[in-house]
Amino acid sequence: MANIWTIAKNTIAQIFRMKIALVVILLLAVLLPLLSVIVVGDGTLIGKLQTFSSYGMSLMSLLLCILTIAISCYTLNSDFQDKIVYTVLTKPLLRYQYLLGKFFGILTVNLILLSIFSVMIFAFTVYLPRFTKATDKEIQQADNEFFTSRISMTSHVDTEKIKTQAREKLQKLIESDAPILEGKSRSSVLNALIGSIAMKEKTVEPGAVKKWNFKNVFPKDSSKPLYIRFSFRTVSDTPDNSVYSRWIVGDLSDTDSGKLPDTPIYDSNLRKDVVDTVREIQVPADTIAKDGHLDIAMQNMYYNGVTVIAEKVELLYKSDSFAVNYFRGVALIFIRLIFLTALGVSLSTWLSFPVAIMVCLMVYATGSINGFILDSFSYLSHTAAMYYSLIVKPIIFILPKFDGKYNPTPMIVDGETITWFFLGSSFFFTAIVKSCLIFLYGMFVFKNREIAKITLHN
Amino acid sequence: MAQNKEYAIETIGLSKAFKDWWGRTKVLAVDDLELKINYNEVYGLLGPNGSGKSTTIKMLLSLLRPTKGVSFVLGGRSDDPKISTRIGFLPEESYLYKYLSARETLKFYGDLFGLPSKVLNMRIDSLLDMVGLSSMANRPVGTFSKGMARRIGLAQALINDPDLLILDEPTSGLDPIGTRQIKDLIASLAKRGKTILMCSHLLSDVEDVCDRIGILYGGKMQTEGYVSDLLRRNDEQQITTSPLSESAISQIREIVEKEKASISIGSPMDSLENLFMRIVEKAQMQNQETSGAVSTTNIGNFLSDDNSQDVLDRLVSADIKPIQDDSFSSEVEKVEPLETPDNSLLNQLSSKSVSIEPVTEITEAPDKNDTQESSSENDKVDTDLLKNLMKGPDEPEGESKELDNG
Repeated sequence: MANIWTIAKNTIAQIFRMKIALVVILLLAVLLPLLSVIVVGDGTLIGKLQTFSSYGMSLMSLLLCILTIAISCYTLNSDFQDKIVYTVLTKPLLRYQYLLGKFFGILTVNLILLSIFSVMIFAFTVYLPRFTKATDKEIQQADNEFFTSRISMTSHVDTEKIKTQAREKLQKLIESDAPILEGKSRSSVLNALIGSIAMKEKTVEPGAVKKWNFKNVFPKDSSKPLYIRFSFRTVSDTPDNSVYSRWIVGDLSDTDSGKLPDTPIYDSNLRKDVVDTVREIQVPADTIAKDGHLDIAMQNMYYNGVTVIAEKVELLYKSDSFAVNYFRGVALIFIRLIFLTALGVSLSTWLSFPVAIMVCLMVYATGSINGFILDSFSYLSHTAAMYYSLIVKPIIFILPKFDGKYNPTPMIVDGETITWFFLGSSFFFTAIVKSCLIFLYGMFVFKNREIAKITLHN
Repeated sequence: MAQNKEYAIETIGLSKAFKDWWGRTKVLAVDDLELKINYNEVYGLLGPNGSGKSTTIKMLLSLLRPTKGVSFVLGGRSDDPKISTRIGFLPEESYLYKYLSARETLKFYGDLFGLPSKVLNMRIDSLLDMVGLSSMANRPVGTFSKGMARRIGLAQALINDPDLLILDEPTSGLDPIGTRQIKDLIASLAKRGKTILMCSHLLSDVEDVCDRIGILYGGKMQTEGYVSDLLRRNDEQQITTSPLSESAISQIREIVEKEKASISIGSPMDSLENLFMRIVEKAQMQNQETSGAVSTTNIGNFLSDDNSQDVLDRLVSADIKPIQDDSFSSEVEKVEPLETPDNSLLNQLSSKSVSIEPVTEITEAPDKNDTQESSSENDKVDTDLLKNLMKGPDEPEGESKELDNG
């Protein structure tokens, strides 16, 4: 352990003397304060806060990831290139200790830099309202929608039901020998039908009412309001680019039989919302039924004269403080850095600096668009099942996930809770399982390689 | 394969082939090498560039894996990590972290040996003083000249007070003062019971300090033996006198001619190394300033240890073997510690390396080993006694030199 720490300390000293580290530190130290001054967002306080935290966290994450990749690939390679390993590895130092020393050295630097700059972003974010001219309403809105940590729930979409409907429709088309099937495979037609039915589930005709059901809604603090977040799209243009709607929230399960629920019902009355903009409606928490059931009904007012597509209607309720949620967000970034450190060190045991850094950057890039890649390969799974499950699937498994819900920035910006469970599982799979597998491979290679190996050309 | 613990280093059929991308053998760098180096011996591995010296050393240090054969170091397999605690290694160039200062460098390597910080700090001060870099202790190694980096490289090799010192081209890049210091140091360490394997193509360096040498060519051992045996010219004799009168010279000529032997008479020339050393020493006596390394004659105390230096000097300079075997008897006898360096011997050795006029008289030069025979015998009594006194009841005899480490 002492030997690992000796190597780690030296690696830390080595990193802080690298130009790239200084550039990253300088960039963050200059850009973060600058961003806090120049960003305006949509002109509102919450807009400014969201824009600053979004840019700040993304910039910090990106630069620290690039720095991690660069130093983890460089430090081992430079020891080889300068032949310092000759003197270091002839000391009573086991090779795995040397690698772990490098790993923990880089990780310590990451932890230091991440702590400094995340605290910096936090401080700027928290103090931004004090230095911004904002109305009480804006401040209230910022407190409710940004300086919070809210659990987000989406209405359950029964995908199996949609698939069954699509299959039935396809069967009918086949039986009627519909010309639409000509020159098309059945699977492509089925996929198109599934898409069309799923889209129909979201659409609300003029004058029609759409209902969403939520179960197990149990906020910790029932005195705090609930929030319904939504955005509208329309199939054609509307006057003022706005849509009129009315929202009813509460336990609506027995309203069809004319029975009123025990809990109050919230009525938004007529409201006008700009299309393609995320909006939130504040609803009292006592509208939730005792069994945790809540219905949300929305009417597309007939005089809109246009079909509305209600994109992703979410129910949010406060679960934690902003600071705790922010900490979990930063921890998610740290998990990325752990993975990239393990990857860089591991690859450097057998690849030269330029090759190792290129592979690392590719993995980072694919990790950042992991969702897209998974979708692409899921199509492959239909046509090349064996190849997919034996080769592609293991590779996809080992690839990190940095996008979607693994990206903390949108969560922090929207004040959405990153749960401890998600953080824990993410840590377990990415920082423990995947990183260890990659690192163990590097240790195996390094243990068996000849340190002073020469490969002759011709 | 069982090792013979009689040797500090032993290789059995050691071979190393370097291959190309396709796995085809392109160069056989070391070919079936049988190397045996005794404990407390200074062994010089000689050979031109590419003869396999460094490759052999790297295999002994497990930096390279042998293609065939096996090597043993200090009674264990060379790939055993525990062995490395007792080895000091100076590579052919000083590969050091450029951003660390001299002191930090030694601290870094010392920490890898798990030395307590008090002991380590003491050793660092001692080594910095020894290699003449005390005044530059806090300067980054990257700003050092090649010679200064070499000195700090040597210091790191000695930080653990090793039993075996492996030196690859130890004097390369050093000025004559540094070269002389390293040679003096090797001699001192050898006196203190260390085993030293040095590889070099600077023949005069090897000749000055090594007991035994082996000459490699094409990865094969071409010849091996004691320096004195290999260099002695039995067809000539050498006599050295103080200045003689013309008549005395004539008489000697007559005597030699009567013996029908050829004679050549002249004044011996001093070596350039000695002349250089005298001038630098004089400048240092006058306290002239320099930004470079300072020549010192100090040897790190911990390397010899310590207060009762005389006693321990004799103790550790004794012929130490891990296994007392009657069938084994070392032919190497160490020069006993002297109060002042034996300059006459050094001069004689040095003068061989430069072209000189024939000396006044010719006689057989006294052998380095022979001169010490009588005193060595006397000291051996003390050594045995001391060894018995200082070792523990279960301690193997070969470990007695550990006492030196304090």
